[in-house]
Amino acid sequence: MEDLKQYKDVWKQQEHKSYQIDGDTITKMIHKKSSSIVKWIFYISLLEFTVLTLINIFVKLEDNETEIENIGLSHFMDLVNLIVGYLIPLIFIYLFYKNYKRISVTSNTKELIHSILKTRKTVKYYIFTVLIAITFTLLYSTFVILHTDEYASIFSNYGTNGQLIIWIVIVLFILVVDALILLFYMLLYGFLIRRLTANYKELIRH
Amino acid sequence: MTTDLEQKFIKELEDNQNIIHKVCRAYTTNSDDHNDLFQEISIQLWKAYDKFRGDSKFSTWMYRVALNTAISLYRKSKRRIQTGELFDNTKQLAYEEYDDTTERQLASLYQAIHSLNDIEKALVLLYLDDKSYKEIASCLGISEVNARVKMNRTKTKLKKLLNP
Repeated sequence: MEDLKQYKDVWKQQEHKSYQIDGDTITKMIHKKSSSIVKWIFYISLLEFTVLTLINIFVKLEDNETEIENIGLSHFMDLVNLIVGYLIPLIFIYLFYKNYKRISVTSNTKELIHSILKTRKTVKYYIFTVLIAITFTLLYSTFVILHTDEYASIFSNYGTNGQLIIWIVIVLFILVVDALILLFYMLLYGFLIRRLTANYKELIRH
Repeated sequence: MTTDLEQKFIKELEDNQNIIHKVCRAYTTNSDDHNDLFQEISIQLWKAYDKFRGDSKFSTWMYRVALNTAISLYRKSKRRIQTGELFDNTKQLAYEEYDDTTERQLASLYQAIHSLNDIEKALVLLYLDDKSYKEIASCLGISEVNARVKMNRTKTKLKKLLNP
């Protein structure tokens, strides 16, 4: 590695005279807003939590409340709304905040990247949980609608095979919507954290 | 109005800014990005400064924060400038105090560094600044054995880039 040692001497001699920044400029610089990925992850995550939690709270089976009461599931749905609408977001927000606070630029590189990715993962799991909850809510809501007086008779006209096909179409439709949301989400965040993930893999590679 | 702590920090940063410039020059390929990264590193250093206990030298602590910021900062993938000339030509005037050979070697060294990935860049910078394997391992959060393996691999790659 003799020739690399030669470069070492050149490296040590270098000065960055054209770049030299004076104290006044540094003072101005340090009061500017950070553009770190951690800050963006924090803002984006807060937005996701807010939007999804609001959706969760407002997406209730209000139009079918009577039917729910009729089939004796009122308490069950209240419990589901309480868990999905409040308890799950609170748990995830707590986990997110705990992981976020652990991110420190002074820790070693591996720890830093790991904690950033872990924080991001918390939000990812929240999204998955909400998607699953929304899927079940949609399926359940469809089930209730198809059993209302208005639709039950129309639905029964299709016979067993027809009903099965209708259900398959509904389930497929919901799955396609879920897949599209997930694809969009993964592309968006894959892009944002692609470099970090690659750096982490490189770091742990032997 | 600046506090005593802020003044102390600014003085230390001003005196040690060459470390940040080295990191910026290794991780960016044009002056605008260089300045943006310098600013982000300065912000991160200032935000963490109250936690700096002086267990290590300010310059060592600064190196770690600068590398961490450069590695974790979100950067749009830019079209790689294959020749590395844009950056090096614009900055050539800065090295007028060196003889041509030194300047040329430094330019090719940075050009080679630009072809490495983020982790390899960190390894090369730490190597060129004579950091021990223990320090390198501690800075990157890997074992010393892994640091040695990675360093050997990176040095071979760098050598090939410098002597194609």
